[in-house]
Amino acid sequence: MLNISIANIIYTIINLLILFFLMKKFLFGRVDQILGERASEIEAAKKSAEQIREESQAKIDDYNAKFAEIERDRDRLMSEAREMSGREYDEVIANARKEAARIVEDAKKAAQVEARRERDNQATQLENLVLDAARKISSAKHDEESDRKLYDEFIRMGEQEDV
Amino acid sequence: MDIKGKLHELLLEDKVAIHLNIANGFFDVNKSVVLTWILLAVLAVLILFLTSGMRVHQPGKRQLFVEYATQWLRGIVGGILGEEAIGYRDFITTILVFIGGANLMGLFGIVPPTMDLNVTIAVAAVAIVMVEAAGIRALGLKGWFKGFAKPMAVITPMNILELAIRPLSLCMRLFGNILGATVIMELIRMAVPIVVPLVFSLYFDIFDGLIQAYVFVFLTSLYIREAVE
Repeated sequence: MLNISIANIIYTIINLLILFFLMKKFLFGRVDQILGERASEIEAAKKSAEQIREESQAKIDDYNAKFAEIERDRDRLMSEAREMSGREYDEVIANARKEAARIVEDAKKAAQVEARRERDNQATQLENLVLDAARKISSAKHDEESDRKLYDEFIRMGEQEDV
Repeated sequence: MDIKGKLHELLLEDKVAIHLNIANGFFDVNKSVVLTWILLAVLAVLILFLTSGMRVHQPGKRQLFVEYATQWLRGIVGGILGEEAIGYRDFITTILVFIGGANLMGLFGIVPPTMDLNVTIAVAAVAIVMVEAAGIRALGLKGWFKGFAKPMAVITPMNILELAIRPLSLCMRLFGNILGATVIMELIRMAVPIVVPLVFSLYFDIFDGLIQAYVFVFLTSLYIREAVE
């Protein structure tokens, strides 16, 4: 039990080494292979998932950027339109005012012209009346009665003219 | 049979199993070596059975067990070894399985191979060679020699002595524990042949045997860790 045998020590060392190679090859080797394959599969799956995530994130960013651009465009167009419509409104109002002023002016002018023409007309009629009366007086015989008749006629004509 | 006779039988029996008629019996094969052959054969069959038909997907219960057990044992050893010495993990795990398996042979009424001093010397020699080799590999021959003068020059003789003390303590602790356990078990069997030996066998053959395997591996791993730092 206690005597030492070099040969048996060496045998045991050889046994231990054999066991090591056995375990290395058939236990650790196989387990490591399986675990490694599994790990690489998981890694690959993770990588592809990460890639998909990145791609979708890029798409979302892209969409967001586009959306922002569209919103900016919309705002710009809206403000432009608002500005333009405001300007047009002002223009229309200004035009309308101008037009109204012109119409009023025209109307005033027309009224003045009409008034002047009326006055001229009346003056002409009066002239004619006077001329007529004068002619009648000059052509007819003058007596008191015919003079009165003439005055009356004259007045009546004048009244008729006035109406 | 009296106690003296029992001890005589256990300690002084002729342990040669195979006698080779060369070099005056120098190459005789001990019973313990034959037992380790049996252990090796059993482990080989077990490993081949457990690892046959392993699959990456949908592993069976057997595969799950072997994967878990392997990683668990490696985890125990790797945790002690630390990051720098992780390369020695598989070999140390092999020593753990070897000593554990040898110690558990007592369960089947076989005298454990670790009760032969030659076996424990062999394992301790391998362990200490590994420790020093790890030191040389990590620090270089110069660094390894310088390591003897650390942490201070005064303890250099102690450090050199440790070269012999460490393997001696490793092999003697293992040998002594298993020898003691076996002797006590034999004595208990002599005193009370039924029931009681069963209970004590649980402690001495399973618990103590595995604890000793763990202690051996734990110390070896610590030495390696220390050597590579």
